[in-house]
Amino acid sequence: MNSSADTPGASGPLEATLASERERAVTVFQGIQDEAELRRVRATFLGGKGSIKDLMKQIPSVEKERRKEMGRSINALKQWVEQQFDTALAALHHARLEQALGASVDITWPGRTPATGALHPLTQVTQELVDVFSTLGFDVAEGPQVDLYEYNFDKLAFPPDHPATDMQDSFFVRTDAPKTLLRTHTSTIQVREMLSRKPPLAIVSPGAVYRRDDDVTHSPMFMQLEGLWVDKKVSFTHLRGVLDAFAQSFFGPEVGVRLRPSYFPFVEPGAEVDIACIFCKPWERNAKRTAQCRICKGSGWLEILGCGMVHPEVFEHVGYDPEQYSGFAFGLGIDRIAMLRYQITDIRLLYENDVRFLEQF
Amino acid sequence: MKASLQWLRELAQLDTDPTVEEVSQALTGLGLEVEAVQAVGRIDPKVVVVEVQSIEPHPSDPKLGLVRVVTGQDSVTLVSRVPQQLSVGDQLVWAPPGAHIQDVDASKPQVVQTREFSGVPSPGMLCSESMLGLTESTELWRLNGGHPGGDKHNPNPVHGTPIQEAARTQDHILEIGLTPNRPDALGHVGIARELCIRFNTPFQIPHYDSQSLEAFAKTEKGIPVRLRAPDACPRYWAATLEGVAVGPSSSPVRRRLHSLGVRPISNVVDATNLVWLQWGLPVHAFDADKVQGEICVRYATEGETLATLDDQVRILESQDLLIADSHSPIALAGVMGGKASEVTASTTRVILEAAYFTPQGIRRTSKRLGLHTEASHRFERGVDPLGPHHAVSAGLQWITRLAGGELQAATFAQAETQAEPTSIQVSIPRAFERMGKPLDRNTMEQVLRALGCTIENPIAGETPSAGDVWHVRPPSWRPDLRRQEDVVEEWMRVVGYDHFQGVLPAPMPAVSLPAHDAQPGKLGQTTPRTFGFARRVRTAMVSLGFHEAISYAFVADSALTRARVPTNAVTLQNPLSEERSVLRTSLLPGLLESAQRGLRHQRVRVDLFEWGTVFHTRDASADNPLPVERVHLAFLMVGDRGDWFRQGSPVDFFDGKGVVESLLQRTIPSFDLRTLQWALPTTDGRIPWFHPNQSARISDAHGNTLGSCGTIHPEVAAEHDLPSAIYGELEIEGILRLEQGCGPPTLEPLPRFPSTSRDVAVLIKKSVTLEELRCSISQINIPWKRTVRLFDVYEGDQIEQGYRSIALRITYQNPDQTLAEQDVDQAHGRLMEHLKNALGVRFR
Ligand SMILES: [Zn+2]
Repeated sequence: MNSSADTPGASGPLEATLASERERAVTVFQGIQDEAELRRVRATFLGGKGSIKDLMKQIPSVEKERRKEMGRSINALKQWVEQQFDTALAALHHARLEQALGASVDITWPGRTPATGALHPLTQVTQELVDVFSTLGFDVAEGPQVDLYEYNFDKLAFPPDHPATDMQDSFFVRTDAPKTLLRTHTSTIQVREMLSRKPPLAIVSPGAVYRRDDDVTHSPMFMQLEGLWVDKKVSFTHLRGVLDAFAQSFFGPEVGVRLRPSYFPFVEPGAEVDIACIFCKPWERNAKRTAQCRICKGSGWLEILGCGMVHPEVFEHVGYDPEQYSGFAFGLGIDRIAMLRYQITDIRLLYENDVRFLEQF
Repeated sequence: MKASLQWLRELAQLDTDPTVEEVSQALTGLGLEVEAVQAVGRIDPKVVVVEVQSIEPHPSDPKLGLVRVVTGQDSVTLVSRVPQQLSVGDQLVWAPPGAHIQDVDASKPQVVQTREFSGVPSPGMLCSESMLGLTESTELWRLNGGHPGGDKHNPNPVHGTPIQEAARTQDHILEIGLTPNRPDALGHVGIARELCIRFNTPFQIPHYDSQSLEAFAKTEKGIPVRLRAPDACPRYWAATLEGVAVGPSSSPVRRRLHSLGVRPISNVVDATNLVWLQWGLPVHAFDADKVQGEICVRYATEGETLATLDDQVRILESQDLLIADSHSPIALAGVMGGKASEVTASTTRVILEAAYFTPQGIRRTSKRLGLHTEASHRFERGVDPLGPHHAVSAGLQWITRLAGGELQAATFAQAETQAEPTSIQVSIPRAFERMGKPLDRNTMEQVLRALGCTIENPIAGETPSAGDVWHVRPPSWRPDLRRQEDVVEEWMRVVGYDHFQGVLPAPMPAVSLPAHDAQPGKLGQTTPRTFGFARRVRTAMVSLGFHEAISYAFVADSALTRARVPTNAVTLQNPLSEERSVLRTSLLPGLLESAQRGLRHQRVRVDLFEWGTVFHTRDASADNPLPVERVHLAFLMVGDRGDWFRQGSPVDFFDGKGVVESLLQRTIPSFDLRTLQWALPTTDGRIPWFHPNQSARISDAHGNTLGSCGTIHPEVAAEHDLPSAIYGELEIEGILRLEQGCGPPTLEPLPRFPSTSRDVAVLIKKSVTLEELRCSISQINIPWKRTVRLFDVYEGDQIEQGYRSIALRITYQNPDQTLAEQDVDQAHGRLMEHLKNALGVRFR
């Protein structure tokens, strides 16, 4: 047996109100732009004088066996209305938020850059070099840039009045004191350190040095880093070990070194050191690339450093016993390494402080 | 040093035939670095030897001739401009149409064409050496002997042979970057000797028949030679030749000289050049008829003059060594010959000089006169003291071969005492220790012998190299071998440095003990170790938005004046230019110049800093013999603060002050900025480069100077085309001292209770500083901590004259509890009342 409420057309006035209120709830919330208005409309259903309250009041007038069912229907309507209201409220909030978020910005506008500076490329290279040599056990030492001729040449076993001094054409300083010059290498620091410290010692000395040269690859002032290691039984193979370790940690694990005999008065034997070209990477065995490499001119090697075993005469000059101690020394041009690394072809750019240059590093 | 591969091969007579690359690698590996290789004498094989068959007149132009030449299988008729110079049978060089030839002065090759001369076509051309890029000679190149300029030593080649083969024109020129310790390699013989060592070939020193020379030297016939300066010239040969015909050298000689960068001059002069090219030993030829009486090697008298070959009159000093005849100087010994005794076209008698001059004297004279010659270059490096004997023999041979003539007399003079080369004691175990690994003793012995060393045996009956101490006598041409370590290097370089694999040394103790037993006065100032601190300062400056600058330490004197910085500068004796002639006394000139450059490139804002050394003349009373060096940090800010979204305003004093404070805070976090003393310069103590009213001296709580900061003086800024600029310069020594006085920062507990603030706007006399106001606020007795922040300043029309309006936010903080509003109101009221009474402020 079917109840009349389940049967369309067989409904009483109560059912008709339920149906129409259900209909009304679907549309009445739409388009309302204000939360208070939404709540006021909601009250026309659920408020103290709302239609649902009204319907509840009518339940007793329904036949006893249908009251329960009537109650369920009213509850269903109540939930329906709540649901419509929530949806409308959420939509209203969403619309409001969208409005508040505004239009999208033009993300192609320039970023507001916090003021940022940069270290000079020579400083960056120097700091890296010092870090590498520190881990190899070297200490950093510094010294004056204007120094005695004696410390720059004589103590380093440069023969007096010898063409070897032409390799380092010096700027002399006007003074009433002994012959004084702008140091041509930071080996002056090594002399000073050895004069004031007992062996063993291991130092690197970075700093500005000065020679009377001025062209695209030579600057009258440039940066150098020299190293010195003095101990008992130091050998050439130790020098080579340190250079290998340096090349691998600074330039990369594949980068090997090559030593060629050369001459510096303060070392014996002396060598020029090449590293495998870091541009055409000869270890990858791409012969064509190496042949075409403009940086190493096809040789596969880049000259970066001079070195050797400390000349016993140097030790005699600073009061170390050459029979007991031996050592090695090396020197590299920081500018040269920076120029190689960053592919700078004109050394003068390094000292002009053009911001367009500085901000690239 | 340029070396001809062809010549090296002739001298070395290697068993193998290494390529130019192998030779270059070998020499570089031995320490004679081959810096560049240049292929010379490449000629298109179409260019061939031809022989003149007939010479006939040109049908219409009497100045021209028609020359028929055999070109191998064929013959062609060419038009010649110089028919009268040719004869039948001449062997010439012909470039046919289509051949590529490159003139000695041309930058690229040209293609030979058939040209018409007065109606007669001439297929190709007869060539000179210069047309083929071989020498500068523009004469027609003749290959057969008997003609002037012809080569009588070359057998006549077959016509049709490419000239490249017929004249062996191809060669490689090696550019060797010689280090100054290797004078022995300043000639082809020395380089060939090294090649023989590398390629395991015994080296044969070129041999000369010197019997007649020595026989002559024993007679009294030669020109008398007096050595008045035996220390400077212990050996001297003078050989006299007669019947010499001065003229051009043969083609192969001229070509060889040209390819080695030496200009062919005349056969006699060319012969002397060949001697130094071959032996590294300079010789000199005098016209014997212009040398009067005897030859005397002596020092110049002060003010004596000599006209040298380069047409300069040299005024001499008493340390200059001279060759003189009985009347006057005839040469600057070991540097350059004299003009008056020069060999000329009419010379028939020649005196050939070969001598040993000690290096120091030659160097002194050559440097003083700025006269650097091939001869001085060799003598100042130390030639073989026994070399003059080879040199005079070689010279005689070259002269007679190129210019004819005959040896008539010779004199050899030598000092009574001669420096004997001593032998070097080499401890083999020490040598191995230095190398890091032992070598095979046989190899070591072979190396020494190949180098020309002898191993002397001090103990009878023992083989020389058996013991642990070897006595090694170096050859006379290796003056650089003096000590055990020099011998070790020879072993290592010949064996090859690659033989010694790397080993890391045992770790060094982290700290080594200073001895300080050296005389500190002699050492000069000790330099503080700043590297680690520099890193922190630089990082801080970068984080504050500055780019790091590195400027030259030398500047123009005028740059110091222009920047108004101290001018007690250290001056260079030999600057490269006026622009870099004094050492900077301040970092300002360099930064101003860099900023000026930056603004020229349309920068609106340039912020630079520099960590660098400044120099001041030495304090005469100090022990230190050196100028005073100080490390400074400086920064320069130029331009506007604005960018695309914000209106700009120029940077001012307070930007600079902020940088100084932030920098100190970043590098020394525990430093209390309130202890920093900022002082406006007094009228008498103005800082010349600063705006007098917008700058300050900065010092620490004890009054030690730390630096200064402020607006650059408008006149200085204008001088450098800058708008207003802000500059600060700090003395690192002072900052380091501050840092040493401050430990690591200790944590101040974070407040647990909220603070309470009151904003107040006050009218205050302009003469009252904010610092005074701040002091006054801290004086009043309130039990809470208070901080004062300035947040607005107004001066203008609405404000009474002599007053300004400032807005402050005063914040009260009790660490132990939340403050009650009414307590704050009450305290704040008291504070306001106090300010009114103490400083006369008024409230708005
Ligand atoms: Zn490369």
